[in-house]
Amino acid sequence: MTHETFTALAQDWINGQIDDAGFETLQGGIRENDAFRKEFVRLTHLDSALRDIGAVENVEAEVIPFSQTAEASRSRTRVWAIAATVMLIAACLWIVFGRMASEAELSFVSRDSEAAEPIAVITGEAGAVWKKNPHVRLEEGAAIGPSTLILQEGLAQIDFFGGASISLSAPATFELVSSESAVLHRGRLKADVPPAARGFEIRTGDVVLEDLGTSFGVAVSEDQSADLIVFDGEVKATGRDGKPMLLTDGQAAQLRNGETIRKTEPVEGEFPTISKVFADAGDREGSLYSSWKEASLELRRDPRLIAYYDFENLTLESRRLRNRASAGGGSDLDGGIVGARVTDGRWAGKTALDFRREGDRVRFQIPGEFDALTIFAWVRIDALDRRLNSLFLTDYYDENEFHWQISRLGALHFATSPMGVEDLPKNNRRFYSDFFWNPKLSGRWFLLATTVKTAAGDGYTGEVIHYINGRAVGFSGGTNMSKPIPRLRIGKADLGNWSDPIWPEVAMRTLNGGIDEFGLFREALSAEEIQTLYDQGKP
Amino acid sequence: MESETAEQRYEQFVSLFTRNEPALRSFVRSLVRSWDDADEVMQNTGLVLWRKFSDFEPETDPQTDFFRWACVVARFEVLAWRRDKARDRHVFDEDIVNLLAEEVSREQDALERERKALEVCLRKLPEKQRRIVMAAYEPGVRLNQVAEELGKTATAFYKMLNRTRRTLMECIGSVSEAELGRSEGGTG
Repeated sequence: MTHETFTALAQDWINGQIDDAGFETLQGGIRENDAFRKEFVRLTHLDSALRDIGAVENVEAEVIPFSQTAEASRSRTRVWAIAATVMLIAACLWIVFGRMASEAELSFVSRDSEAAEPIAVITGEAGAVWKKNPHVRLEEGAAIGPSTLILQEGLAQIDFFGGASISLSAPATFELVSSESAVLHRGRLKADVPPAARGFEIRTGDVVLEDLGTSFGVAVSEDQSADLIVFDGEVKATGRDGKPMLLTDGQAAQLRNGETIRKTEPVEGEFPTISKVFADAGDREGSLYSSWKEASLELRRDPRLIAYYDFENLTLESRRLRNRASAGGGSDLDGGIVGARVTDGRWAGKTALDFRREGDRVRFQIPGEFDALTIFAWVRIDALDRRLNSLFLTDYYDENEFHWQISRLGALHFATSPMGVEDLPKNNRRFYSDFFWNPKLSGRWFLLATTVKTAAGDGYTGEVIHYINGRAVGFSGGTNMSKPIPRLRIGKADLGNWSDPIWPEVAMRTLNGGIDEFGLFREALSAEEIQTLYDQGKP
Repeated sequence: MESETAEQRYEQFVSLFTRNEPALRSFVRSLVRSWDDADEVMQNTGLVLWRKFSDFEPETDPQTDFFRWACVVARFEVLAWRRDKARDRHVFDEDIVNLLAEEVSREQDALERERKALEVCLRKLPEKQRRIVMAAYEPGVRLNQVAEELGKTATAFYKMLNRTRRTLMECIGSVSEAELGRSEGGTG
């Protein structure tokens, strides 16, 4: 037996897939060959270690696996398995000692956390242009770990997890060190430090500024000299000589070569403030909203539209989601809002629908058969807590109907079957995009789009392309992907849910999130057109 | 030696048991067919360990001595379990259990090192592969269900999982001491 054959058998054994003959061969290998035995022990050990890490990771990521399905009750998390053993012992001991083990005793040695734990979050931006950093996602709402950020234009607001808040004005080079400290290499900032974050430190060159209360501004020029002004409260500046200097309300100082020199003349230039960041961002937001609106009015006239919903001006009483497409079925294609509540959309003032509870959905009845299709929606995903999370699903899954949804692992998923539910493994064409979502992206708006060309008969089997935020992405998996794609039908369908599911007992697919724009075209839009949709609508 | 109170003794046990539990469970898992089997054996092992804890006399380091002792107990529990299930399919012969148990005990330090190296190697895996393997090892999932979610056939999924395990094994063998130190956040 080769080493490779043995390893393959050992893997089968681990997967619970070994057959009788294989098992005997495996035993023989373990019995007779030291190297095989060693290999077997290493492999099973790897399996155990992965299981341990899997339990911790998945619990930390707050991904609730299959919690709605029956399988879950069979075997709870690994952590519970350990706890159960300890608890069982504890229960026996309880009789002896008349007491239960405290939680602390049952807790487990915590693992080293990832090196790049987030320490701050970008909470506001106004015309901010960041220098690209391959390791850090730089945009509003992004949580960031220790890293150096270069702001080339505009203003940004960064809140440290320690409680301090920084308004940064470009051009600036700012290094986030920990949730309580940072280095300003260049640029201008204003720090606001609430009592809870007292002790927050900013370093510039050789001087450490410790905030003993409320707020101060610092400006570091290219020659590394810096101006400091205390707006309110008290700041302790410690230079190279180690002697702290206290500065209070209204006092200013110059920091140069590791020394702090008091200044009498005011610090020049304006310091960015939180309110300015938000005021500027508000203007920007307003202008984005209005430019989207213009584009949306233009979009209505596209003759290729089957239906188009802009989710505008919804109120608590709204029960109809207006189809705005000029071409086609008009108000016959209006959606019926069931349950889903009105909420805020991508911008202040824009309305959206929230899907959360089991009944929440918008009902449609869209007749026709389509040779090609583009389906798109602006979607805010709060969590992917079901195996499949609905975007747009036709009722049941009859012949040539399709399902458009997101898998629990974060892939956009398009599926259709020319035979409906008959012999699904053989007929179901399924296309899973690359993973695009994880819990850190919760609450952010995405433009999700899929274009489909069906089989034309002359050997062309069709094509499915998934787009995330305007960009085409690849596939992480699928089935029967090279079989011809049938002409598509919709009929009765739900946005954000699934009516008349195939497997009622495990079919809960309610979206957990919001939608504020949705449309269907009878053609496959080009990559450029999808990119334009994104550019016109990005928040 | 000063006599300990029963309560102190109990605390000492919980502390030793909790700390050694993952390695012990992994030891048991290599001798039985499935995680369910391992859980069953572990429950009995835990109880026996406690009952016999008064016999446990550490010679040098209580941690390693406890683990060795626990392995001996666990091995007997596996053999007892084996006798109940001997007529079932795919239960290792007694001599195999003994051979494997000796191997694990002998290699404990190396295995401990591999466990640390695994964390380094997981970080090196491409994001996609890492996600998939973590999904496969999520507690309570069935592999064919994860396969379904990924849009793969069970066979293709097992192949991918086997390949990933092989990649990890190769990586584990090549992790340097420096990398291990970093992963631990120190040299301790």
